Amino acid sequence: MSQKPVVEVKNLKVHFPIHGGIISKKVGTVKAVDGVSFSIGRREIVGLVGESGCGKTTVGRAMINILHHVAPDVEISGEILYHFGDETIDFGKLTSHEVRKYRSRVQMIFQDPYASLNPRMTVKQIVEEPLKLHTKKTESERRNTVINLLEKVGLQAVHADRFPHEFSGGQRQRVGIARALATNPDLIICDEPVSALDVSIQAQVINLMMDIQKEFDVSFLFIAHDLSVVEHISDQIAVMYLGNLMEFGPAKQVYHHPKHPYSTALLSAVPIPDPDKKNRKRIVLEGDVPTPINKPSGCSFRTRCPVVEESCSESTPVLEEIDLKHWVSCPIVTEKQ
Amino acid sequence: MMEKNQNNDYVSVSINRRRWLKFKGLKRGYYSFIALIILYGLSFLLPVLINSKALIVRYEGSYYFPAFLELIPGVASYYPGEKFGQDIPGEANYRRLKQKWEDGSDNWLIMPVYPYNPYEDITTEGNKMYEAPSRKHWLGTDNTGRDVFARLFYAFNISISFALILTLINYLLGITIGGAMGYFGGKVDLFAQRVIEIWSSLPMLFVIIIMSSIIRPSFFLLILIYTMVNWIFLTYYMRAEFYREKAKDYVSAAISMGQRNRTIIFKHILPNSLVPVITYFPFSVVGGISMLVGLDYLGFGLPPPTPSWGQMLDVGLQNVSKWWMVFSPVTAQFLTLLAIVFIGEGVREAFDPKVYSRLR
Repeated sequence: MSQKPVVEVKNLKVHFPIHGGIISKKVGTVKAVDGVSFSIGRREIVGLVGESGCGKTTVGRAMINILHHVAPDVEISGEILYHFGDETIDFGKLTSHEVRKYRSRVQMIFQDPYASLNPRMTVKQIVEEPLKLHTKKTESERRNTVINLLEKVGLQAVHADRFPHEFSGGQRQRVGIARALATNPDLIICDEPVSALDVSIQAQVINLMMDIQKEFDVSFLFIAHDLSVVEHISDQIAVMYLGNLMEFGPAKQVYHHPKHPYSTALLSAVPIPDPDKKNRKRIVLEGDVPTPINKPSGCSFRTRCPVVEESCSESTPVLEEIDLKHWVSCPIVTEKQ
Repeated sequence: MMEKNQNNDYVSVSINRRRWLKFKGLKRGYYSFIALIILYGLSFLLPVLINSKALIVRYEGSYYFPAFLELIPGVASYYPGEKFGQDIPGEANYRRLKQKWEDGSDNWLIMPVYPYNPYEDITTEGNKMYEAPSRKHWLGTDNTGRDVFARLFYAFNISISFALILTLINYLLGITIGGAMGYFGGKVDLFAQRVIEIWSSLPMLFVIIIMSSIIRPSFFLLILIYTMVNWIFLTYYMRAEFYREKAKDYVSAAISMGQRNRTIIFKHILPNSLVPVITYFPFSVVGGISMLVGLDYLGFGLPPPTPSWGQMLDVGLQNVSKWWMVFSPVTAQFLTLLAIVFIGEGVREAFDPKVYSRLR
């Protein structure tokens, strides 16, 4: 049976207008995400990597439709198609009111566990809030569900009546995971869930997330900048640079045999704890990342690309499948294949 | 932080409870708070504590409670003098009745602790102008023969009530409007900001003076006039707080789970953005009291003969040689404002986030 993916993102663009002058007219746009397409299958973990400011987080937030409350004038185009059972819903097209009843199907785990929990609510109140909204459980049923969830994420029932400030960062992130799981969603978007934690805790939380993914049959979009973490957890890896997807393919293949010159450079920077490999070639990119306000024409990576050709400035490359389920957005690489 | 509950179990302490415990630990603010609460509570019982009407009158077999009746709004506590066999026009003079019945009559009455009311002036028999403090009039009498001590306490009640109601209405308006501006942002914010800028540039002192000279100001009219301008400064705090809080991830989490705007505003953002306005509350009350005193002093405040510190100060400064008329309102005002400032100081310290960041 060919199952539909949980979500298909097609040509997603997120532009933030810049206003200036006395009458605050539009003077430019930050092209945070500029045409990103990928899909996440059922029970699949897709890792989204890229350096700071490349638009990873914006992709995640656009997919869950929470950009408007901080940036009311954001311009979002493209399709974000969710397949919930037989229904297909485009999150980008619905009004904030219509989208509400589907909110339980997609949840998010946030980067900063200190800011993502309301400091005035107990853990029980935090985790049961989605239950109150989307289920008709009674008070005692909710309490049981909450305790059940807490135990699933490695906390105890006694923690239910404590406040977030009484927990460590790792424990808080577990509470965040429990909250995301409460509605039994189809997809959980994890926005750098471990980058605020120290390394020993990171491993625990990542293993927890992998266990949970199997137990709850949920898909993950795992946004991170730590490549080894992403390789460990993901089935698929998507590499982003300056608002564009550079490469998208099976995790092992992208990690060990990257095709796109940017992925190659990015992965050569991953430290390998093996003294025999200390002489491996590191590709050091020159220059800085161009600003997303004024992106280079054609391929956005061409200003720093080691294999750049003249034609790169002329047309914007599109993702092409060079191998089974392995897409690369670089005409030079595709030609060589 | 944990504490024991009734069952001797350790339970977590919410932020607000912790702040309250901290406030309780700051003795100066806490005792000022208790003293002020008790005094303000008692000041509603002033008609039975400081009054020229008797608490209980027994006259020819029946009982009358004129002072207690005054506590109930809308009930007439007026008994003409003839009712108790007094040959005077108008209301009965209970102090004279007491003297008259002292020599072995069946009728008797009990007077309040301090048997003068703040309104009886020179027209009441036995009252004189500019009487120096004595055992009869503890703080003397003023230019129309009214008892200064009685007026001082009635004015305390009016001042605090005025400042509290004024502050509460200001807070309600300022928090609602400022919060809406911050939460909805964009065009709502832009438009409301411009309206507020125009509104706040009205010279309000002149507006108040002009309005007071056209219409006779009353307690609620003064509050209305003041709230017209005073809510504005609160919107600045609230707007900024809402802007800051709504960008935090716990609000994003609430939105992403499909929470209603109303719940997000009242349950998530509001409790987390009240700290600056709560710590400002006592100082806002101080501002309200001072404002009323100022207006009364200038003669644009509450209409006479309402007891008010500002009016007493005005009379006192016209007769500086009668020291008790300056000394009394100044001292009363000073002590009240000092107590409220102590409370404010305690509240501010109890809300200081530094202690908690260290605990974390």
